[in-house]
Amino acid sequence: MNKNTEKDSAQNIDKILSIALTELSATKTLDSLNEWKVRYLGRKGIVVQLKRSISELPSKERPKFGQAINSASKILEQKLISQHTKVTSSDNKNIRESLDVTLPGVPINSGSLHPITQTIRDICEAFTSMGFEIIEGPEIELDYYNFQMLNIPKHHPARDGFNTLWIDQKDSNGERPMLLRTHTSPMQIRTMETQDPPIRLIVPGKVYRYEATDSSHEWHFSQIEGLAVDKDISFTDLKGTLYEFARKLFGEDVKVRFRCDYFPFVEPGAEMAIDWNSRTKDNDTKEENWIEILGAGMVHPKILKAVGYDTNKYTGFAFGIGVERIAMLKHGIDDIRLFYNNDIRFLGQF
Amino acid sequence: MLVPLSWLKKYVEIDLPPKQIAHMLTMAGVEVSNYKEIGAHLDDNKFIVGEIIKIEPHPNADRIKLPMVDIGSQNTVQVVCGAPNIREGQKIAFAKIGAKVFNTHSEKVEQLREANIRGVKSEGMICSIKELGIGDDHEGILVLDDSTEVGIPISNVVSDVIFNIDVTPNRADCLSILGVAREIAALTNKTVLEPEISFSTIDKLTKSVISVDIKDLDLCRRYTASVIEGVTIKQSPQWLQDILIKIGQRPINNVVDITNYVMLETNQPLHAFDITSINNRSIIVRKAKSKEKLTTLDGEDRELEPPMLVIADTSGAIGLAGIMGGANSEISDSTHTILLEAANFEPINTRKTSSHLRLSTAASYRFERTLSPELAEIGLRRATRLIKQIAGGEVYDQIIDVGSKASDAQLIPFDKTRFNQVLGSEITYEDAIKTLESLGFIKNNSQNRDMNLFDTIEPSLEDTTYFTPPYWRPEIDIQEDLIEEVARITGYNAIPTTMISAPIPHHRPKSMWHFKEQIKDKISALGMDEIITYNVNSELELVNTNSWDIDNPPLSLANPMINDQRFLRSSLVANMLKTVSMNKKLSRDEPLRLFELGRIFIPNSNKDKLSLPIEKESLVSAFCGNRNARNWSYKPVQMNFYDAKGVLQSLLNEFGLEVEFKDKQDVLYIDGRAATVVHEGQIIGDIGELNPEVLKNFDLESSLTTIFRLDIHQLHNLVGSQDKTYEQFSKYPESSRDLSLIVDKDLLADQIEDVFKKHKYVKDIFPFDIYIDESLGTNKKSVTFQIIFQSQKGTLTAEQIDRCMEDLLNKLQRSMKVELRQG
Repeated sequence: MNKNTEKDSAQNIDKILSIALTELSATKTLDSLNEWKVRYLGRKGIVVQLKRSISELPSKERPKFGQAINSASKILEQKLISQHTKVTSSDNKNIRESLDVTLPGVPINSGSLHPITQTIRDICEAFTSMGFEIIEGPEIELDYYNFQMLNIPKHHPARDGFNTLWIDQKDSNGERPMLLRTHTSPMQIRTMETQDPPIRLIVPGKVYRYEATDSSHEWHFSQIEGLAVDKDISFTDLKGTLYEFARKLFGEDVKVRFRCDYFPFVEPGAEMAIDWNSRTKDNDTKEENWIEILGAGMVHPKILKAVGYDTNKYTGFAFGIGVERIAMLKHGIDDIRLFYNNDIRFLGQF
Repeated sequence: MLVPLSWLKKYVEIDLPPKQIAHMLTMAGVEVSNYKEIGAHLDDNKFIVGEIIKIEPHPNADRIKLPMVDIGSQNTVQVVCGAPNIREGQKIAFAKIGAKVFNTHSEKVEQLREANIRGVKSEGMICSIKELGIGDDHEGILVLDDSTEVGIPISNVVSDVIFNIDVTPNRADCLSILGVAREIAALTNKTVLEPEISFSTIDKLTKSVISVDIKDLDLCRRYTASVIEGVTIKQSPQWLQDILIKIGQRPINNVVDITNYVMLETNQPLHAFDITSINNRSIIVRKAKSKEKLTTLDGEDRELEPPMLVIADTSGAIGLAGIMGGANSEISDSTHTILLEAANFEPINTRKTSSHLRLSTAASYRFERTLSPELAEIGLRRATRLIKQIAGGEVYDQIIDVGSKASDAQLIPFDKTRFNQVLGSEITYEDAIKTLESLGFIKNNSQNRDMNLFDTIEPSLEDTTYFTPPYWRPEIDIQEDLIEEVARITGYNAIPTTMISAPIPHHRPKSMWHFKEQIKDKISALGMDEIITYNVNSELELVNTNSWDIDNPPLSLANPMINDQRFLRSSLVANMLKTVSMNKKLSRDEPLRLFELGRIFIPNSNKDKLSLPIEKESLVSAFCGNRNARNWSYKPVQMNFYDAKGVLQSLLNEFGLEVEFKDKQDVLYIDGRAATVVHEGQIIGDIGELNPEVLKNFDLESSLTTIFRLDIHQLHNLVGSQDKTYEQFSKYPESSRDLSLIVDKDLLADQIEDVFKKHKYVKDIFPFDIYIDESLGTNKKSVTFQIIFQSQKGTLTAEQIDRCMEDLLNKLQRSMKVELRQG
């Protein structure tokens, strides 16, 4: 044989090696792996046949050829082992295909709580941590609890501020005794009638006003009433409690202010506002933006007297928080009607 | 309530910027919702007061005039003007060339240029209110008061600030300019200059020409009247017209304008009668007769009923007391002598009358809010003085004054201990007393203890001061009112903050509220979205969802927002379906899993319709659309009964409740695809695929929709506050066997399961392959169960399990027709 044959033989080995490796990597089962092993490394396999063919070569070429075969045989054996691991590790079945990792994951149904539920919880939590108990009351109320006992007698001009939806039932005087509560305040009376101080409670619930709806008015909304009656409860406690509430809900840096306001069932009466622009640290450059968030005051002594409390001994404070207002502020919602429209594109965001 | 700063300044010195005034008033409880600055934009060099000294006709146009205007500093200019109301001698607003005026043609503010109008040069412009940019009036040029000085900047004359004040129902006093002025005075340590109320009279007694008789002193507490003879009814002077226009009123004539002006100034409503129209010169204040007729000043014919109060003469009603005068006694241009009335009418009757007649006026609004009888005389004297001054005439001597002169104001104790108890503040008692005095409260230490019976605390003699409120604050009643006065004038922000020092009171164990929130948490964790809907429905909606109980129909509202929201809901289903339907249109087949936990209202039995209804907490969940959100990995499958049941079971499992599902017939549901949910014999809810007939009403007929409902009160009772008890689980392995049976088609799965579940080794059994095929025989189905075996005591052997299977199969075959499926 001449130089060419030498070259051909070596090339031949390379070619065989490359084919063998391609075939090896294509094996996916132990069976096909064994088949391959028999074909290349078996007793009558290609490697053995090649080794045998050494004798047919000129003696000068034999060592080189032998070396080439040996090294090829070693490579094949090594690759066989790693392929074996691969095949067995894939459950003896298929080797895992590579994935399109950008395909979306399998969707999980994650439910959601209505933003009003969430806001009520946030507010309630702020007060329960200050020792307030959560109770509820009826949404259909008597004029007696909704107005009269709250120092709003019949034909009082303060009733102008509580446009009422009346239940269509008249008593023997031709008056309508039942209504949809216009505020959660009747629970102040219902509680004090049946319970002696100390009292510290909050009352979340739906309330109703006969008012045209627009982006900031709903006829059907939610309120949280608060009431604390005890010895030595003063206006400073009212301020302290509500300032603390504001910080819990709107952050440590929020600016709060109290101003005089009128509600027939408190005296002195107040309205609390927060400076919406003060919540962030860099508030120096911003204009103040006071937003009213609740009404409050010291429980009117006429009310304490009417429920039979000793007004020499007990004082109390009360407050009412509009839930939708706070939810709108916290979430940047610009239309109150979204809450009760229940579009899942809205609900799903909370 | 619109309050011009210029008017306030007549009674109190104000040197603060409007923003600060607004803030100060707001903080003190007199909320300034906004304010408008008028004329602040007028350039003082360009807009000045001028006087029209001469008017020439335009040579080429009839309606255009050529006035010569004196603009001060010996300058006279000629302009061209087409205004119909231009007269020689008028003081007017003159805009120089270069002034920025509102062009009423282009509707834009433009710089005024020298113009040539039909051949005549115009060196400026005489402006209307609109052209000045201070209002909408463009009927003619703005005519200033005759006394206005020529040459001064217009802004000195027209600029003003109009505060818009939201007056709370307790502060009737702030419906008057003087009331607001008194607030500002107290807040800024100034004194109020009270308006002049004196006038000279002639030597004729008022009572010689008029008599007044109050028939009902409870409804009319005081009636004062004056007679002014020889008035000239004409237009009001410019300043009076201007001020009324500023607050949005239309000037009528001098006498009417003065009554309005004085009401706004002092708060006392007034009414002027033409004395000749009063029959027999006799005023009778009495209740209306049944069906008594009166045409009010607004031209409406009114039919009155007692106890509406009227002002009458001997022939009938001539006015609706405290609300509106009658057309029959109205003053006219020819009126020569007027009877001016200032009375005090009772609030509730005024309010009832006003609301009954749907006639609310500035006067009725004030009387409803309680005015002091003391105010009547003050208002009367003030208006009489102004009428004499402006409309001329002579005033008869000694006004008529019937009824009680004194106000109801009583002595109110102001106790140091109580003051500190309520406010808890650092304001000293001495400062508090000074504050009250600054508001016009009169300190009164008389030993006469005829004080308000409703003092909330026993006053101690030495630390108690007694106050009489000023007549303009009749609503001040008890010492807490005084405390508020001190706090609001001192400023709420000056009061420190503390936390309640008393111990936290005892709380009741977990309430219904907590239970509801727990359910919301659990059900939303199961992939459900919460909705909250209105508590009302239309009759049709309730009928269509089988929620209308004919024997006990839902409560209705007398005045619903809209007719479709008339009934208090007796079920949550209709609103749920409305919500499903609305979302379905938006999301097509995407999964909708919604729940609402809300109240339903069950009226009390027919016997006692006036007692409050039962308010029941209820839960409804709805499932509609595909089981999975759009995704490449699933084939879409519609949700059905079992999707709902899965959520319901998981929810109840969370509370450790075992329930049974019993076939239910209800027109709400498809027959054979609904069940009641039963716990130990008690129905706690139901579940089912909704009848397409029901769904049709909500545009959902082609969308399979399943709902379940739970009675939350029953659930609450069942779950109670009991904690879950830990159950030990087996540490030995479990084994499973499959069992394929051919059974009757209507045999229920749990009939087989029940037999198996009773066996001590059976940990669980569940069906996993169900099919119906003719080859199985008629009315047969094949069910394959997987049964899980496990023991607490040891690993079960194959023999044990085999034996167990054999036993169970025998038992099964004894009690029902089952056949082992071969192969």
